[in-house]
Amino acid sequence: MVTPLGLGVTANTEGFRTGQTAFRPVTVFDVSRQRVRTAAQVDLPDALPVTALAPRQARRLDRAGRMLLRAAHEATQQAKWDAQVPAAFVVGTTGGSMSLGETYFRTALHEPLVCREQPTRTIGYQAYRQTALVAQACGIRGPVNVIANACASGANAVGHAWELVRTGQAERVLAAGYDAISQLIFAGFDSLQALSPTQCRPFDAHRDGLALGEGAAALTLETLEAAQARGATILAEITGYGAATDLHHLTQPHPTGDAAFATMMEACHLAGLEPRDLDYVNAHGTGTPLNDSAEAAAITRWAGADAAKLAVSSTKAGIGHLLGAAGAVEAAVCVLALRGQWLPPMPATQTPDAACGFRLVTQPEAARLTNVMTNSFGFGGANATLILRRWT
Amino acid sequence: MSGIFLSGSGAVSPAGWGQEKLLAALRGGELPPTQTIERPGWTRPLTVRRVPAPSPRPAWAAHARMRRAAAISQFAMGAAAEALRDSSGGSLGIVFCTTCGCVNYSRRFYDEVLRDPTVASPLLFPETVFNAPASHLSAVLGTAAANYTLVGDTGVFLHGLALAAGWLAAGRVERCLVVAAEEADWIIADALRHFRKSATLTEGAGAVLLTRGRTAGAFAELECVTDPEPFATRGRRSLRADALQRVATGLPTGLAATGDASCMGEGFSASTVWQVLAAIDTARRSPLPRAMVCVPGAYQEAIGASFMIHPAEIP
Repeated sequence: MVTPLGLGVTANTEGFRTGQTAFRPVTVFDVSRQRVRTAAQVDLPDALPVTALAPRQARRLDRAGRMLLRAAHEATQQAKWDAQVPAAFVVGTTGGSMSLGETYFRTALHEPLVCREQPTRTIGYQAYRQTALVAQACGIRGPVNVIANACASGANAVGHAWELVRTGQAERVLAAGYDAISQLIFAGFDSLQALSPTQCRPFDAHRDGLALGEGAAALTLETLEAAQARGATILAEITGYGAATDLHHLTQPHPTGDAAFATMMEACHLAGLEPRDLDYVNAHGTGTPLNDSAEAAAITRWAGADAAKLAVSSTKAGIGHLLGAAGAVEAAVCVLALRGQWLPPMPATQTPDAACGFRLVTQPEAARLTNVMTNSFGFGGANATLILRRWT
Repeated sequence: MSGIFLSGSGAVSPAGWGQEKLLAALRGGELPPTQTIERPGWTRPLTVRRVPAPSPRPAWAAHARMRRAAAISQFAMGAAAEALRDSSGGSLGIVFCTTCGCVNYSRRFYDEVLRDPTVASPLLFPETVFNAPASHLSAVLGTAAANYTLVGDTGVFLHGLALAAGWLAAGRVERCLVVAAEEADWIIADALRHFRKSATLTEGAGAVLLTRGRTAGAFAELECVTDPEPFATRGRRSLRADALQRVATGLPTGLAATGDASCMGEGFSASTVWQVLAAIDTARRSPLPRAMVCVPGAYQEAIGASFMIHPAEIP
């Protein structure tokens, strides 16, 4: 994984366990005229790990693609996947290589007679092209699918990968989510006044918006038989996935969170679990007034009589909203929490919203975790929920 | 056989709103005229084929979600509505496929950002996301079932067919719309000319309704979608032909009709769904037992698909 907390799982684990935050002034593009000027930006080195890509191919990866490559490389190396065994690649993203598209447009507009590098930018801008390069880099030989379901993309990618394995359509799938902050998207959220001018405080009664971040996470999914046959270390098991569409509005959830309720119910049904069996929910929890209200209503309704005992937090409090990467990163955080037996806190949340019928985790905490859930909800009403179980 | 049937289809193209207008043009009728599109900073305009305004205005256009929706969403809705006209009942999934996405609103919004981000319109930004058209489809059609947007090379519509078939086989939904759509904008026409100076950009959409099991209106059965064959990593023209050849060897042998929508211009994912509809139309008219498409791809991969044709009345 690559997040504003660091590069790689080891660098990230302690940060998520202790609720560190990673917000700083944006430096990758000009924000001097924006209302908000901070985000959780990754400290991304230019150098890349050695992979099957030739140097000139690696140079075609933009910032987002380089984060995806790092995450995918780490995952496949850790899993010790043999490049000779076919695997599918399912990736979620919101913006893909938006930065290349922005550069193309600026050049086309301000230097209309310039052709140099424009063809390269045209090809490089395609998210599918970037993901195919990463697939080649990691020795992934199989179909590539890019799911662009806004902020649920990463969760949809993991869920779809799980379904491919579960239904026998693939023996192994690399699932990932990635997004880099871009000027267009940053300005977009700022224009909606969705960005917090203070601090991202999910589920806080005084919350005033989200913070943007960037990053990538990749998970290697395979059948139990395949993993055991090669003596792989199994990190966790995905047991449930729900996907639904909120019809209320293009950008706003239904106030009662009906679609979120539906995805949580569907995921539980597939996992064979009741709400009381869940030990923790990694909420979508963006920190916006509308999302957190709707999600609080959905979680409280779904958990019912067990809501008061249910531990809930949002890691967006520390690393911001990673958009298309969020669902995959948050699934990876759930894996870390299951293995380390701790709950990710959100210390900035001081005054819980009265709508939260559940327990908010605001301080580092050890816990006995067996089943955990992660929610992702996006523009366009894309809603997704994943359930993961501790592997012993 | 897959047991996954095509039970409805629709298209919006520069030939007009409706599949029959597209097919009539492709069968050798009159091609729709081209128009010019201004390219900032150039004296010479670019050439495109645009979808004409619908007449009469469709009822769905009055839906609140469609009022400010971009052209790509309007095209997708037009094709989807036609594909669904004889279908009702059962949960409905949506797989939306696109190569270029919501370009017009994205370009306009970013232009405003560059001029002055403090006044960039918040009405434009939500329509820039890849899944905005899919969201509008779900809202207008009133389906809260699973809804994915796939982004990919020209053949992404065939990936969408495969995904939808998987949903149907797994029982996730009872029906699934697979829609591909593109919209023309000077920025895309500008990008296209870097690779093919004589190419004409086009726009529009196509849709098929897939069902599990043969329904009354089923006219074809999805036989297979091949594995994609990448070529761009080596990037030479001859390797695109090699990839196409590998795709062809992955398709069934025997008599089959093929389709070609290239005379409309470059419509990326929309061109592929038009190619599928044209192939099926040719097979039904010939008649031939099978329709096949091989899609060469614009920048990354070749992919193909095969459909078994079922006897039905020729319109």
